[in-house]
Amino acid sequence: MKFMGTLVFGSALAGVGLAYYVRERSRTTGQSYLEVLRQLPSEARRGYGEARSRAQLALNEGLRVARAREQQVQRDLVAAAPRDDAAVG
Amino acid sequence: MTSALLLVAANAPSMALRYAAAFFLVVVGIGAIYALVRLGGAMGKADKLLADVDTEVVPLLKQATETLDGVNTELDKIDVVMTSVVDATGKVDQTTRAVESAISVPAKKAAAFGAGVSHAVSTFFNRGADGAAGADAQTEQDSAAAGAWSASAAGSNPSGVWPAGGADAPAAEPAASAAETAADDTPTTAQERDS
Repeated sequence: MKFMGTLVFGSALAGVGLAYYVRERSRTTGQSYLEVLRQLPSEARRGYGEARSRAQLALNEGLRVARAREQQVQRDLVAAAPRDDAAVG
Repeated sequence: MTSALLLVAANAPSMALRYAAAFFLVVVGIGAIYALVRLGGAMGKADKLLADVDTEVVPLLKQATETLDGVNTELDKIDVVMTSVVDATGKVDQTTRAVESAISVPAKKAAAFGAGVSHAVSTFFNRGADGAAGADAQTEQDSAAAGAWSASAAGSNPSGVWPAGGADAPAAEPAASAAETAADDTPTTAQERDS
């Protein structure tokens, strides 16, 4: 019963979201609701591909910046560490 | 009588010399006695001084010896304390190094993780000026993946939506799938090429 309630609630939420998307898309492009619905799979595929490429790019950029930041912190730590010959001489 | 006077006159120089010698010897004897008396007094004072030194310096030397023994004992204790201090300093140095390594490594990783996540999120949600150059290749792949989207965006449909022609969308979907497969197999970044 709980699963069915969740399913119904999720379906209603998805329906509302889909209706909002179709309405906004139709208002933006001037197309009919049917055309927007017909283009929905390709639109979702395009969005998925774009999000995937963005995620890949963001991952690479994040790794690059993280390595650069780690090297910078390492240099700062080495520069801030007291030298051994300073305590001898 | 005359002969007696002549005899006295003849012996007068030797007698004068004898009296002079006797007087000299008497004077020398008196001087010698005086010197010996003074020397005896000085020797008595020296004897007394030595006796005083013997009675006063020896206890002082004993006390100095005891003091030096105490100082040596204290120096031995200080040596032990200094050894302990050196050991403690070494342990503190080791502890400091361990704490430094235990703190610096996670701090370094955390700083790198924060910077990477921040830049990745900003790159994902905002393709700004710095991300535009690196995103060109990805944009081309996106265009290939989307099939006819680049043409539609540059053509009569500036809003970037799928063209109204019904036959284009089904034909573009296999092309998009093939392009995505090709994009997945081709290394796009320097890191992927290195790996």
